[in-house]
Amino acid sequence: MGDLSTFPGLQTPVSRHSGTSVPRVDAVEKVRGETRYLLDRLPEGVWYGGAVRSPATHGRLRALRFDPSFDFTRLAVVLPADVPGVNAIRMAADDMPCLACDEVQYRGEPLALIAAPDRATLAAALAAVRPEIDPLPSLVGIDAVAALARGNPSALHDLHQLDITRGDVAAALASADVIVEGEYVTPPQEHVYLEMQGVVAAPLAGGGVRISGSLQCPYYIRPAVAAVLGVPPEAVIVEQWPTGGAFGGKEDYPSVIAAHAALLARACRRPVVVTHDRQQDIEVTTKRHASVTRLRTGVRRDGTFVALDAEFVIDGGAYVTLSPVVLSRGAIHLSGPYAWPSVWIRARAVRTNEPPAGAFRGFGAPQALFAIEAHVDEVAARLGLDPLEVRRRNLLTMGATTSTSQILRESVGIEPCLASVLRDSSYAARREACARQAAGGGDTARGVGLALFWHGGGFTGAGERKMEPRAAIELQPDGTLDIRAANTEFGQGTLTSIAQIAADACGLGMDLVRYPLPDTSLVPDSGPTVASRTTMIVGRLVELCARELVGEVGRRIGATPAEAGTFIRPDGARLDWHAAARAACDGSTLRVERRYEHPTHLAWDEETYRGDAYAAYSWGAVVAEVTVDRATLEVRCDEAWSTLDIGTVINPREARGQVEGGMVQALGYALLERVTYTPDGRPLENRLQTYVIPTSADVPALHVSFVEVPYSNGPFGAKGLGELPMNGLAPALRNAVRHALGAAPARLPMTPDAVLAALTATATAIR
Amino acid sequence: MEGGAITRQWTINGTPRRVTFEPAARLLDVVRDVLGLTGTKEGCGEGECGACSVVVNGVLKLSCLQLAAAVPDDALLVTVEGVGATPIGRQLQRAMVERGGVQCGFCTPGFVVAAWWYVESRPPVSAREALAGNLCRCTGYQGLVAAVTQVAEEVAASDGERS
Repeated sequence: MGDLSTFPGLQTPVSRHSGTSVPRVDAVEKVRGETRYLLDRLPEGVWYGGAVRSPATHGRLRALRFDPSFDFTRLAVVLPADVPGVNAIRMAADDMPCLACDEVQYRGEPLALIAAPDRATLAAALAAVRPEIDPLPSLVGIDAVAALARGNPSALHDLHQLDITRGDVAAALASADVIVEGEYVTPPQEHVYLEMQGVVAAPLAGGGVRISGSLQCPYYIRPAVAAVLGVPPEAVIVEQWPTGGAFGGKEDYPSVIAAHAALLARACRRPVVVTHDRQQDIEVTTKRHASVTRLRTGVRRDGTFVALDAEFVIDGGAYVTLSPVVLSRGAIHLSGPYAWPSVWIRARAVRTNEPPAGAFRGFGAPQALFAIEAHVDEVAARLGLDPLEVRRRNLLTMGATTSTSQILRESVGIEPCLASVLRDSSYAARREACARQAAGGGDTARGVGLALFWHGGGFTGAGERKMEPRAAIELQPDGTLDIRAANTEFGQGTLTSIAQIAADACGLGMDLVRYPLPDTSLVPDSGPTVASRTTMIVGRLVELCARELVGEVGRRIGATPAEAGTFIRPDGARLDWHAAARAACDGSTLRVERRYEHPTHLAWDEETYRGDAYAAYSWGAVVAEVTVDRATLEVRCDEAWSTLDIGTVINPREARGQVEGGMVQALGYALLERVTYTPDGRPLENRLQTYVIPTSADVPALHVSFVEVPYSNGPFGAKGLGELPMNGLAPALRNAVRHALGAAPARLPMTPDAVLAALTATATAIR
Repeated sequence: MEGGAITRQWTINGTPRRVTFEPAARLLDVVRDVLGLTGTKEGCGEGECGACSVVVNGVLKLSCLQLAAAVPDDALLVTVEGVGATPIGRQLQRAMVERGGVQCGFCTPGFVVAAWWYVESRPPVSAREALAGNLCRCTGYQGLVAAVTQVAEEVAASDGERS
């Protein structure tokens, strides 16, 4: 643990559970196979729902032809005209139809809905509807986007656009010793949560509906479904069932299928499940935004950064969905954990005829950080400096200013992260050994790469202040605490870490704290489970609720809270927790609810994109070693080391699990994973045979450690964690390949063909 | 329906059962829908992810690719629910909990079954290689490999003591 006594913002030292790897509350039932996910708990009499989908990439829908030989009368059919409310799925904008009825914007776009008593009948019915579409010209694929961004940028249609500016970039570039330019490309990435998307909608009396299933954000689904049904939000109840992975993939997309299921349930007056098989799940759900980043950086000969001039273009797919928010986070993180005296970042989310891109762990930052961290190694090579020295010279430190002109006032841990990872990996010695080996020729070349990264915790800018998340704790007369929050468990350990925080704040054992999966009829809106905000923001809310609860119990029974959940009466008698709870509840329950208060000294201007983008950042450094086969150009990660500053670590085992899992997703992103589209919009990688993710045999030993630089407004000093580990390993691997071969792709994934292209380009340039 | 239903007599997790299913049924669907053993999961339906792993007559099988009708009478089937009733199964489950081998839990039953088969039948490969037929997107495999390696070593050591 870090030395918390030196940190004045903390009210209490870390106590019994926080900082301890207490067992996950859900682990035993999971290893026994007893946890019941959506398809393990379908209600009696459920029908199966699905969508008639566009076979065209872009076009005008002329008609839906229903095969007259198929009997549709015993099924439920929903057409756009049957949507009682707004025919749109509400996210950052209202532009995405629930069911497209005029222009179709991507292959697989839903056009009509059908529900049937069984899967076979549903499949037959869907096949008996033929959309007739007049094709229109389409734009598909990040290479087509990159070509336009280079040659004809005005031909790209913006879904959203923003600029970040600081200082005078033109003047700074003119004064720089060296200008280094580069273009970096990243592919769409599929989440591959192991449980496919799925929800059940069940009609409620009075026109409402209950949505249950595999999802991240109950309070995103509620207004989206209510708008489609034309009912007040309260008429829609959303509950999470155990969820087999999400990674952002179940942040936005469940609103789509929940709306579909709700419409079908209303049509057939019975529960309807909408789910996918794996191929459909890969073909129609969101992906990580593909990106192209064009950088022009001015530096001094000693490696000091003077100007960052960047164009950051992300492929949003067919509709706005969450692209403005992804764009924002990507653009803010693009400068990396470095101080740039002048910055001009022009960020655009552009429309293509691909399925809408969406939330995926990292949320724009992995794309931006791949670009900047690959570029820093190119800058170092141009200057003839060690990439480590260039990074060291420009690190953000306490009091430094970020690209959004935020002055960092606390919890800046990038320097200790770097020092730790260099030590753990024996960086200098390892790099030298690899360089000797690579110079010696042979069948393989080894290389060592480094990358530094950061991630802001919570919503960007004024987001948390505007949404005012709330959480509650209910004390039962038997002394049990029920945490009431809308935050979901999908593997990260939310239920365990939030319970640890509550138990510690009350001085109780874990056995007295319950955190049921959320149901909007029971829990306040503590916000979505996204943006690395659950521990840092909601954990803090729960901590404050718990402290207030202890105080309220004391007031009600006229006693003073003491250690380990006990109370002392004025006469000196000590009451244990159970006796105090029983007396304080007086046969009922005692509920404490709190509203989040954003630190008042933080300011953000959405117009100029300046100010305190995040209350606190988490930081990380990663070193990776690779072996490249000189004959096949296959890249293999041999070992990797990462040190992260996430503030106080609430549960070390689960935190390590988050880091290891994120690193392996980043390893797949760097070496294996991509979705490529044919010119007519067909994804070539649409099943797990072709969309390849790492197995245990692809993953080397990962060495993870933490430095703890606490944050004053986090629970016991904790900051955000979930997304950070996705941000660094991909550029570290790229830089390791560069170290091994003297050249490396400026794009992901680094498949042998991409490595060959990079080597060929370098050889041509030298010639 | 051509052919009509098929009936087999199997021993499932130690209990003899008569099972009736459609001729084209996958073993996965029979395990889940007919036998009601929902611990076995479908993650891809094409033999890539291993979430549907079961053991049939001592052989690790992907039940999504296995025609149920091709499993003969008197076959011995073990699913995750049965693995947990064995000493090695319990040892593995405990190690997975302790070593951080569990997150979302959806791939977990498949890993439990594959790991149990590995520890019981001892093919000459490391745990890291033995688990490569199962996909996990959450853990990064470190906790899983550590747990299975640990139990394989413990079991080998205790066998050594016994002999």
